[in-house]
Amino acid sequence: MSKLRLKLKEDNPALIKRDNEVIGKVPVEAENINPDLIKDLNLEDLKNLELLVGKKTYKFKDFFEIAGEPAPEIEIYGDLSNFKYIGAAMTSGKIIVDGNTGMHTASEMKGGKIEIRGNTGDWLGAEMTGGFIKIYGDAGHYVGAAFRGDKLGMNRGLIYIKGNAGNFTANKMRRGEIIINGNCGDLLAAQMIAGSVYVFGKCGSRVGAGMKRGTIILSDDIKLLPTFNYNISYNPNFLNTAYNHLEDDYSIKIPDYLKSGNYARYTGDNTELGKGEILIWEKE
Amino acid sequence: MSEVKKYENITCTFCGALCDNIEVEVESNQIKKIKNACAISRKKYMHALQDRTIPMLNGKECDYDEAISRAADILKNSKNPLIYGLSSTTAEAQKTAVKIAELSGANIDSTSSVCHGPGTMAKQLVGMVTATLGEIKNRSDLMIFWGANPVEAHPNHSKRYTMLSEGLFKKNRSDREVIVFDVRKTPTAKMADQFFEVEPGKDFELLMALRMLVNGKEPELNNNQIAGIDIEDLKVIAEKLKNAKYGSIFYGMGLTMTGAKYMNTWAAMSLIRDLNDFGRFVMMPMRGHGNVAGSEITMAWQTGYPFAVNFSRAYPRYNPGEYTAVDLLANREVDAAFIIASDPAANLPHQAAAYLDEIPTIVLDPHWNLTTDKAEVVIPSALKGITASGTVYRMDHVPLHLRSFLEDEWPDDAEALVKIGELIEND
Repeated sequence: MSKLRLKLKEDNPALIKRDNEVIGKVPVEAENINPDLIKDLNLEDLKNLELLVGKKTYKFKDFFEIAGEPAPEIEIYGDLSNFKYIGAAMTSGKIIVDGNTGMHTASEMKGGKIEIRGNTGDWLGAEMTGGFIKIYGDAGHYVGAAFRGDKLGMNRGLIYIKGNAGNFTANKMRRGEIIINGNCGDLLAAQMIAGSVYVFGKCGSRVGAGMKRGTIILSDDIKLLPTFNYNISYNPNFLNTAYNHLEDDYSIKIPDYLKSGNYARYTGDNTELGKGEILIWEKE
Repeated sequence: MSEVKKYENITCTFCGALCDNIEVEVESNQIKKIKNACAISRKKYMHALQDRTIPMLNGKECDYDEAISRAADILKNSKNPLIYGLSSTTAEAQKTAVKIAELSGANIDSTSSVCHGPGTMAKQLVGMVTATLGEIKNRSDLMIFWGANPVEAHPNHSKRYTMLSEGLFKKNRSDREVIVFDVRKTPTAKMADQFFEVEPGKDFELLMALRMLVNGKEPELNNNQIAGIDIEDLKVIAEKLKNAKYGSIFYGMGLTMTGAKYMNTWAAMSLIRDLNDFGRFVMMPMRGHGNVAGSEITMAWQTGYPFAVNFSRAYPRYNPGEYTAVDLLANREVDAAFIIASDPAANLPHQAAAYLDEIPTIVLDPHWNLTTDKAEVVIPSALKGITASGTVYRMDHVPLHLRSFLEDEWPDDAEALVKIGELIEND
């Protein structure tokens, strides 16, 4: 199948220079890097697609060396850590980035797949409603969260982060799954409404603050807020089904030790509905 | 001999309490006597006319108009400029700064983002029950200071509006109960009936536990303590909160900038919401700079958002963490900075402040400060409330008019900004 290959030019209009030395990078708003839009374009239109650099508008050809042809599969090479909104609102196709990306990557994504072989910024997959996001490195804050002022965060879809995630992961999450292989920052699943979050590394403080419903699965013991109460130590049946689904459908490696043994179940946040559950794997 | 002139009811613009009962005596365009001012305010007036800026371009003195036109050029030719500060200027200047941000596609942020901004974000999540300082002074029977130390930061606040004030129904200190929550025994705590030493960074846990107790539920305990406070004491506090006829919480940066950041204030605001089922309860941020409340009000009225606003798409977008000054500077995302009546070089994290050295920076300020040392363009201005008039907002969002009582050789902030705006617009 045909592919579109974009390689970021080393010298591009987003660089902030002083005496010919690069001192910074202006953010590039790249919501046009979207397979739905690109797949039906001809090469000439693609070259002239707009990218917003601060308040100035530039074109794809100013930033990228273009190879291949417009197709639903896009591969991008280079450090795109100042590129925002890559794959935002995409409904189909595939984006692979061999490098880092910036904020709002795959935010409001509806379908398709995006794979980042580096780190990504804040608001990864924020308010997404479908699709699969895979990050090989670390993600920033507010993974799968709701944008400021909105009531619902991620609503369906799956985010898999092989590295670490920042604070406020799954903030106001409504539905879907987030799997973090590494560590996670503070306030995981704060004000969560529903959905599932798995953290296989260590986790920051104040997990589930103000959560209404939803499930948080942790492999490392942590001190919970006084608004959560202990229920039981057991091996939840549904968890193995969930683990199998992650391994079979998304090829996500689940640590073997998590598949057996007991989990301590806590419910809360008792200042809210109190129907959220936190399952913490017990070492002994 | 020149004439001595007296001015009454002058508003001091140092802190958010905006005392409007200052009396000054002026002779030969100099302040000779000050009455009713606190120690901080007295120093401010005494040094107001010293260390004044002059128009500078690349470290050399220049014409005022030259500095203005260079500032307009920098903003016009940059791709992603930042306008920052605003908390120590008038609402009129803030309004014009928003216009310049729109014209130059800039990011505009106030010092709120490193101060009470998280409280404002919490307000957007849950809403805040609040009142004017006058209402609190007349009626509040239970006053709580949380992570705030007005005795040292807003010296006349307790005398004019809270603990020691003479209200209509609450006449003196003995009519009011005062509780202080802080990480150390501050001078404010020494004036309180009760002081609770909170384990640093654990305000959120404490507030959430209080919410449960107020709602008749038992919080989960490890060692009978939450945030270093005994559960039995907490139960007594919860009862006191429920039994208050008119409670008020004043919160400072000890709440907004610690532990769970904006979720701290969210928890406090949620507690207040719950407490209004029992009696009236209000809360108020102890705003620091003179018109920092005004910066949020003006920006919200002009753009719909209180701080951290971006205009690169010509319409306003809001996102703290993305369009806030510290993030933009530390991540090296802006290519010019316009600092209005603020000193980020002295206050922002080093990594953010150091970047101001590398990009073209414009400073509009009446006094020399650490940021003017980093600036390519320095524009002097008049002193608000002394040599310039205008509008400022008190911490309870009451607007007060400023009068000028001395003469100045430089125009005020608003006039400078209007000129810069015209140059950008006419281009």
